[in-house]
Amino acid sequence: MMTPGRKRTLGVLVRTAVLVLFFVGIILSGRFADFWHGAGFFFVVGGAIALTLMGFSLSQLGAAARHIAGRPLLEEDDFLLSYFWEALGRNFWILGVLGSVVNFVLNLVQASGGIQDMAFRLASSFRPAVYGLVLGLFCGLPGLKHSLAAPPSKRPDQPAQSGRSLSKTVSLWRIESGVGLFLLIAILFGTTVFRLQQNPTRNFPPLGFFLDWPAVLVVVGGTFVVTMFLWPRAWGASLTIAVTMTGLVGAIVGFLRVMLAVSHANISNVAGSIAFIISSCFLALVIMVVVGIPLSDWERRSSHPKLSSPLLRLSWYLFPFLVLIFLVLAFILVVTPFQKPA
Amino acid sequence: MSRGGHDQLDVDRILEQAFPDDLPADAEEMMGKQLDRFPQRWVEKEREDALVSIRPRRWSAAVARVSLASVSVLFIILGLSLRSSSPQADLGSSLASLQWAAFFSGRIMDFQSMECAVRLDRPEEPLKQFVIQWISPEETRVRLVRAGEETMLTVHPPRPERSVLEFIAEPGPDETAAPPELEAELRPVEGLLSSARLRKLLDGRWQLAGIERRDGCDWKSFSVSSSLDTSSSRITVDTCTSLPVRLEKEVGPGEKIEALFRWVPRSEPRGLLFPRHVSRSEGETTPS
Repeated sequence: MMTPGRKRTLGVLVRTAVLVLFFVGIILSGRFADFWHGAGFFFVVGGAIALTLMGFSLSQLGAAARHIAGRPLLEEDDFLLSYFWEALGRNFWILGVLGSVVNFVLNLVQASGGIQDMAFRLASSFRPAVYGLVLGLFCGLPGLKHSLAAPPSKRPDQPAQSGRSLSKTVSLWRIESGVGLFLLIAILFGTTVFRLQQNPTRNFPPLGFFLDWPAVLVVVGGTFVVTMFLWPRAWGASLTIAVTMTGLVGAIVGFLRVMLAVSHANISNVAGSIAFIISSCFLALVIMVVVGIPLSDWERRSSHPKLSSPLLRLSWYLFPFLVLIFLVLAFILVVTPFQKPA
Repeated sequence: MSRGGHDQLDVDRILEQAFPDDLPADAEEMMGKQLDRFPQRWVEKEREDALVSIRPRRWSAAVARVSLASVSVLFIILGLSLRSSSPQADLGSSLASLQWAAFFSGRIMDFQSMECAVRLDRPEEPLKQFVIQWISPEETRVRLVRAGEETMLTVHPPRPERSVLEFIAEPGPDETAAPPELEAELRPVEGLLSSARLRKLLDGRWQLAGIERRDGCDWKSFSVSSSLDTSSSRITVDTCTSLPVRLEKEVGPGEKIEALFRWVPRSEPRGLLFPRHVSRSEGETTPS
């Protein structure tokens, strides 16, 4: 008869072996160097940790860590744990996509080679999205498992823990959220403006490469309008939904313009419209990461009213996926020559 | 029982005698309705008072929301109209430089027959002139004119054309590199000996350097720089045909080539390449 301790050790060993096999499979499917991008990995991991610090208190993080170690939670905190894992996975995923957008623009601006060199660089921009997806899946699985399992207080072998509920800890401004915000802005600033300033060959202001001002006007204006429609529901959820909707509209308008410009073989307009698409997606993701998600997390773990979660989840998972598709289409449009009409 | 208890019972009895519960049913119902209406009126009055007091605030909030909505809609309209009319943004210009390279690379690939006159300037040496003709993907003819003497050379490029996407996807061995047996005299013009080599020569970052108007068409000049090649090139393109018409490039210290291109569409029979004049409407571009 196997003791619970041995069973747990065996479970950990099996999971570790599966994880190792997974990474070996990835490495064997191509050269390891093709998958490795240190700055991108740091962006995804650092950014997701900072974002999680902004959304959850240290006591909640500690409770999640203790729960991994086998300690039970209060019944009313149970939903919080599954939400925590989901939020961590979501943060990895969104930061991965944002990292891909940032790398795409940086490679576009900094590369000095020709089409061949550029094609390789742009293709390699998608590595942070792979990191985000893999890490997000690994973090999302415990949340899924936890939400499918019975509540801890109803488990016969684990008595419910007594004490103060973590769900009642409601405070937007805490030290850890301030530290998280500082870290996130430092990472965003360091990977965008700072890296561009190191490139002496470009005379443009660094933000000009990420923000196409017409796209900024459309996204900001649209976000205000949609948020006002949803007001006074939960601010974070409203803002997240509004900004993703507007970013999506901006990208679709951009693609409409691309198609019109391609039909006239007008390279300047095609390039301007692709810049519009990339900038709309970038700005929507940044607003969602810096403001929308931390507020949504705070509302979720407090007693504030919530918008329907399917729409919010679509904003978290579907919009970044669409951004990746837009990025792939932009990549194809950039490197594929089109024919001029007779 | 205490004295107080007796008094209470007496008062109750007196009250029951003074106000007996013998009202008719309709009177009792009416009285009940009036009693119910009283608190309702009270609440309504309070609500009306509250509405009167907050009415100015509601108006100001509504005005603020309408103003904010108007400004937001104005932002959207301004953004969309700016996108239509604004000049290249920073990111847009980077994208455009890449797309120019891809676009002209694709255009050059479409033309496997070309004739160009090249002038090589070298310090302290007599002027050299080349006339390069792409006969087919496998054959290029070069006429070298030096000090009144003409020499005819034939070059066979190692591989036929590849598509642009194939060019991107398969870096592979550099088939555009000059074969070792290439004569030293042809080294300065080796980038012009086939369409693949010309595309390789122009593979870089294209930056718009100037526009001039010629024969009703815009001729755009681009500087082409690449990390693989330290010397930059300057290419002029006819926007009506989207084909290069002139190339200037430094090929060595103090050495410079200037090439003038003449393109014939792929469908043209190769025998007609040299003597026949092909009109611009058929896709040919003839530099002046």
